[in-house]
Amino acid sequence: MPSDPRVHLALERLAPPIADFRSIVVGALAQAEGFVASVDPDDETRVATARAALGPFAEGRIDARALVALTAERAAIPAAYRDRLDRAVAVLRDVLERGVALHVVDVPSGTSLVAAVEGGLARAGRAFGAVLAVELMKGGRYRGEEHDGLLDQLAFRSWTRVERRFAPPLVVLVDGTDLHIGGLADFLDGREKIVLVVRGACPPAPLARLITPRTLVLQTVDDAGLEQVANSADTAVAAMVPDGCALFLHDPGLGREAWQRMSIWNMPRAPRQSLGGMSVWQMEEDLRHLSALAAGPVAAGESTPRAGGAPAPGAVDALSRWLLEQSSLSPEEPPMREARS
Amino acid sequence: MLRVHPAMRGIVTVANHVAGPADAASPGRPHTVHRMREHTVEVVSDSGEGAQKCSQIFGAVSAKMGNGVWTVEIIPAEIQPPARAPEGASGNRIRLGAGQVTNWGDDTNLVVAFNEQVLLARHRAGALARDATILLEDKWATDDDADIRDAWLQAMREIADVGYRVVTVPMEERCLTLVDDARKGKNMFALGMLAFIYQRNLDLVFEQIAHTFRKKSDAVYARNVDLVRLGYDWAGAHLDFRIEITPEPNDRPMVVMNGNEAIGMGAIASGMELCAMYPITPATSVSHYLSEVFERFGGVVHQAEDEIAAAGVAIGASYAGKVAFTITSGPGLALKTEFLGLAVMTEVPLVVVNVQRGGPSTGLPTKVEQSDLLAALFAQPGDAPRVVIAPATIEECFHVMTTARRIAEAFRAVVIVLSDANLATGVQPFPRPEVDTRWHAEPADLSAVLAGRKPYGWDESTGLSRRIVPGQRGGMHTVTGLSHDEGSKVAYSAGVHGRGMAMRSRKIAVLSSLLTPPTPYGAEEGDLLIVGWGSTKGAIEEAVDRARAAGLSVASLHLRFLSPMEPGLTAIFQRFRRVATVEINYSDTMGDPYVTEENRRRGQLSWLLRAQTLVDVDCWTRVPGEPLRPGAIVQAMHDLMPPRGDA
Repeated sequence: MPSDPRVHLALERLAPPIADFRSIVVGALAQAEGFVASVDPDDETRVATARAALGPFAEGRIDARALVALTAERAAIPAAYRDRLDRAVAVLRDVLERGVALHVVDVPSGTSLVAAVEGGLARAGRAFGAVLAVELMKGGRYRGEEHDGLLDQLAFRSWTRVERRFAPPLVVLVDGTDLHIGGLADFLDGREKIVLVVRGACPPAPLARLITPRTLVLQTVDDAGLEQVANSADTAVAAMVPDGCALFLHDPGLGREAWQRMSIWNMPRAPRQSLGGMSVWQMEEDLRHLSALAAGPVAAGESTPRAGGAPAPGAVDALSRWLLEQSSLSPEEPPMREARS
Repeated sequence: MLRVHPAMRGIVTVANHVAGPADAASPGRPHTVHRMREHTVEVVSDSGEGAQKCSQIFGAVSAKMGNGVWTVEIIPAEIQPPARAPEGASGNRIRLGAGQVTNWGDDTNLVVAFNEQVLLARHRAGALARDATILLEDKWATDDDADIRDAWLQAMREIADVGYRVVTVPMEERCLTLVDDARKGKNMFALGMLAFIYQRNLDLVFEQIAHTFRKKSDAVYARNVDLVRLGYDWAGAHLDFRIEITPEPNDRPMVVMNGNEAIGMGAIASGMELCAMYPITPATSVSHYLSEVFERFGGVVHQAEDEIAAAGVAIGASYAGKVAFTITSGPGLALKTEFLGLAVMTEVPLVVVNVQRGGPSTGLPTKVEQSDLLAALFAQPGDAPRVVIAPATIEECFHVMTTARRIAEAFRAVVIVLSDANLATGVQPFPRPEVDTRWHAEPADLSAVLAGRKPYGWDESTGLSRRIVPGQRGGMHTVTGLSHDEGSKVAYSAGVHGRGMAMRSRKIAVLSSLLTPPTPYGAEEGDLLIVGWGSTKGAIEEAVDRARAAGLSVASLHLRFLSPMEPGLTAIFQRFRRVATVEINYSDTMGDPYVTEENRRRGQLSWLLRAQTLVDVDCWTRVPGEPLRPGAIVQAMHDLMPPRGDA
């Protein structure tokens, strides 16, 4: 586990979605273990489990053995797949035992951020693969040659829509010079939450190009706003950046228009030299993109668009008047009458 | 010197206890230590003066010191009854023992009364031993109001013929040296007196005060501690006796709680995640407890807009894949009736906790009764079989929730847990449960439904079917309260309706087949068998012990499963010359006007047993609004004992 305190801070803030993911795995493990018990030829184990499940009140009052005989469905799977079932259970246990460390990715300097994130998600995604494997075995549809791979790693691209809704959050420690962000967009689906903890200097607005209408995007120097990331109903990505970077929040819940969703607290000047393969022009483009998204509608009588936030007082009236004029619907000059004459 | 008011001259007597050596380590005047196996104390006040808080702390401390404890609330029906009225007496009875205590006993040996009217209430209820010691607030004897002084004198005259030892205590006068409003201090002063008398560990008392007032400021804690010390020192300086009840050795870790807390904790331990309820005495404190802690375990307490909605929410949650529960009391059970029918028809697992109180209608909201048994079984249009279980101790209140949830799930059934006000508010220590994660329900199995599986794919011999929950691929079906077939298709044909009925009923027979016959307490055969259920177990078994010690051939049988009824009862009954139930519900008494053997309305369990076994099961029932006393049951045993030669 990296020692950077920001990693621990981010993990704390991401506790709710981490708990959601873990609860899915806990539930899946319980079901898988139940299935193992149901295929277990050892009746005594099944009876002991049933007796325990009935609780101490039932001791001496309910015949657990008879209950098992009546209610337990004995499942059958080919003997050859029995080890796969045990392996699936082991995968689920392993995912749980790794704890929050499962949700941390440390990207070695000079290596691919996207590959590291993909690897991190695939490791956690083994849980989804194990769940699917158990379900296939339950349904008698498990085919070794086709499904054995599920128990190794399950890449994000193979996750279902439902699985993506319970995607494991990631905290990614990465050098500022390795922030090649574009590929991350592939993982921003369902409810995936990614928090980048940036080491060293970095471009001023690396996340600007990840802004889409349904994605919460945050650049911050500390944990401000990470709670929103954790609680977002949709996908979210955040970067904890060094001082001097753009600080902004794009919150999809704040409005239909981009400028309504944007809040910018710090807009730095454009850098004067390239950084980690990013040219000055690219970094300027990111800042311009950010400004453009935050620009509000141009009100009549104003020469420049307003930045994100509510329009100036009177701007709405002015805009309405201008629209009426443009569409010739102004009461002073009824356009239809003119057209007839 | 003891302060004895002139009006009480002639009624002050000295308790006839076995005297032990004086305790030189205690403060103040010399006193005699009375060593006893058990002792019962009551603290009674007007409502709002904190007698219950005092008693609860005293009971908890006593349990922590290793004594057996059973507490019973003395509680008025009104939230704010008039002050200084016998009907408004509020407090607790605490029975302490060297070993386990299973019921509230017969008589109280020591009373702390905050005024003479609440004392009269207990006197008139026959709750006090004839040699009881009474520590009585004395301010009323010299009150400025002539009516109050007169009432005091009247009360003293009323109790003058009994051999009580009355010790007047200047509670208010002493408390006013520390607080401005003595009504908010007397209870801690009384706690201090009890701590002295029963030699309680003051550190434990202060710990318990800190816990009880954990949401209050440090100043409140400090003031209460000072008041306890004040009471303790006053008792040391002025009382001439102390009581010692040495606990029997017990190396098992214990917990102490009341029955409603036990039900709440049991629900958590059983893995339940939703409690839907509407406030109703005496069930509400289950949700009070759960609302403080349930979320920590992933649970939710939902207070619905009414009893009906609460049942609906619980059914909805269960339908979605978990087993939820709802808690209520008699009037609430009546309102939930229609929804319980829906749960039976749709075979949605559901646990209903009914903390019984006196009825019918609003009845006796704060008093104990066992009058909902037949309602739990039968109050339903149409045939709607359900499981009914009655825990008999506070420990069982904890564990019954796991069993109830498991049965509800395995049998897709409605399980009604019948607790009562005695268990709900009584406090008793019991061995700390060793929680087992296997008690938890497995998460809902959302794997695809196998081809051909139907939502009510009843096994022909058992009526059992596998539950399909929303979200399972291939499991889509309609859910309806209408009569339906295996595929949940609405069907009115006689055959389909009858088959559904048979399948739902068969599940109860199947559960019955899994039950183990109960074992009588006291003897396997004899002259008289007393059958009980619910919270009366402790009192009945103590009565059996006493009666057998007196030479009576009597035994008891305590049932937990009431639907289906525990098996083997007919054979057990046949080993006794007479069988009778002891219950806290109403029955006609033979000899009452117009009552005949044919039209006699009997105790509810008695009625069931007669129908079930065809044995002539008699009954002895009372509805005193308080738990049964073992002494009264012993007397009933004498009355019920078959005459010699009566086969």
